[in-house]
Amino acid sequence: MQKRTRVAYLAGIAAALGAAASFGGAQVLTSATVETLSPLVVLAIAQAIALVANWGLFSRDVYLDLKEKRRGYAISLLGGTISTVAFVLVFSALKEVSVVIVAPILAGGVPIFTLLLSFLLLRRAEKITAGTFVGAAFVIGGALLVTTTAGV
Amino acid sequence: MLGVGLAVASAVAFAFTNYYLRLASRDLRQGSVTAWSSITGFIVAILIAVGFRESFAGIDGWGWVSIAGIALVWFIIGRYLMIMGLRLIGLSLTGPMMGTIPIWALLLAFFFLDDQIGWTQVVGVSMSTFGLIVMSRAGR
Repeated sequence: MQKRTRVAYLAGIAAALGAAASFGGAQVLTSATVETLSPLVVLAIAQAIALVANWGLFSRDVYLDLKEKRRGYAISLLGGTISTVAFVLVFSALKEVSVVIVAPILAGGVPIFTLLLSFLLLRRAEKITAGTFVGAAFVIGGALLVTTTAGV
Repeated sequence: MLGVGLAVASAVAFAFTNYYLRLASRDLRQGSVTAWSSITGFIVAILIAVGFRESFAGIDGWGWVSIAGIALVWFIIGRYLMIMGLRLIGLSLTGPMMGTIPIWALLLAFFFLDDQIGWTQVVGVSMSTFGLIVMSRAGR
């Protein structure tokens, strides 16, 4: 049982880092694409492709959840809404100021605000230790050093 | 000043996205959360694009390939893996790990676009790697 928990923990870390790597690749690809195309058009079409693909790929999960009468659909829909609003806010910010200013704010701001939300709202459900904050500070510090000196 | 405010607002919005997806992933399977969140993601994006009278014409073949690639890495693989992370290790670890996105962007640009990396970037990557190790051990 303990071994299974450890495997799940390592799988979770691998998934989170895989997601970050995927988003990092997306950042490189997006910055090249929006040089010639409107960011809002790219966002809308990419979301349309993702909608079709995700429902094709994960329809079995959706079916099983519906069959088991689980809850959480409204929160998922809310998550999708806020995610797109966040992207539009990034594009709006980039119209006003340079990426040199926006990138560090995102690199530092997203983990800080997420950790803050986690601490304030999920303290009882998740294990948050001093080590989590120290580790996060190093991650954010490293990311800020990279974005402020490379202009990513 | 407006641009800075918008950037901060977007950081807060991304944090809330992570929070709500974490809540949803407690009840639903990660594939299911990915699929449901795609619905409103698409609706809001298309409404805003149409509202701003953006033109969808004139996208060439390479443009379509690039957009499909963005959809794949941002909204299909990336989102699925992030929700899987949220489900397995929670928001307090997955959220800060998302802070490594610029590190990955830097490394990918170095390996695939031949971008140069200076010593300050090497220090930044090392700091983030050390932070990841500390967080991983703390959250176990």
